[in-house]
Amino acid sequence: MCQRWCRRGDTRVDPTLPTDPRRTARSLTGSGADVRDSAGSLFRMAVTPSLDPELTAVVEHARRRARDGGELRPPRPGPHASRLSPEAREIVLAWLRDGGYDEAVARVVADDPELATQ
Amino acid sequence: MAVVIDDRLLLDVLAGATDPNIDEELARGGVYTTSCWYYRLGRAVNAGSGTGSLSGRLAALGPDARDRVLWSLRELPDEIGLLTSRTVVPVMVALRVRRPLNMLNAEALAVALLAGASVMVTAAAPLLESGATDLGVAYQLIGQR
Repeated sequence: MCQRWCRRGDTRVDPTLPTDPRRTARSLTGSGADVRDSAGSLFRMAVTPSLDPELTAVVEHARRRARDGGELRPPRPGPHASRLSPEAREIVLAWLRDGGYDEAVARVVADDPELATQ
Repeated sequence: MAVVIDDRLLLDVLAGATDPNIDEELARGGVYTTSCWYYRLGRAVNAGSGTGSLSGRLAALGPDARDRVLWSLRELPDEIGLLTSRTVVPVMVALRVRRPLNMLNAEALAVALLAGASVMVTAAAPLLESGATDLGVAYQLIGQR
């Protein structure tokens, strides 16, 4: 399985390649082809992925059930408007930016390793 | 492409500081998170009361305003998809990857498979990335603002 690391803004990007990463991944035929990163970040894709038959069947079954139950889409798709006041927003964002949130998560994970992003 | 976002990105959404790529997907109904990330966010937000904690910092707003903020941050917006355990657990159980996954990472990959989404995180996650590679799930590591 061929894998490529891709970065946004790479000047070697081929503009004729489709922007959908999955279509792009499947169109790669070897090394040397850079792709557009539509997510604007470090982006790793697997080319020609294949799931084992059991997992494929489980995913399809679960997906069908979820779709039939109306679960596959968010309850109200669309932009989200924050309910925080401007003052509260600044406090929350400052807490995020100065590492306060990361410290809080580290304490949570220390108590519960199942919640670690490994 | 639909995305499964981690707790830090979810907090960005709640605070109205969403990444533009996530904004685009929100408009399309293509943003999901997981129960583990949502739970982790809740625990982090509600942990402690000292000056370093969020609750401590919000104290300057007064107790009622502080409580309103904490309540707001507990509620998952309707614009974010969250699949039930009934749907996700069978997929988590069926995952076959080279390196063992904990519950949080297994759930993230399972939701990505179900939603046809990429996983988007804000901290490097080698095991999650390895599992994503094995399963053909796109993995995105983005920097913070």
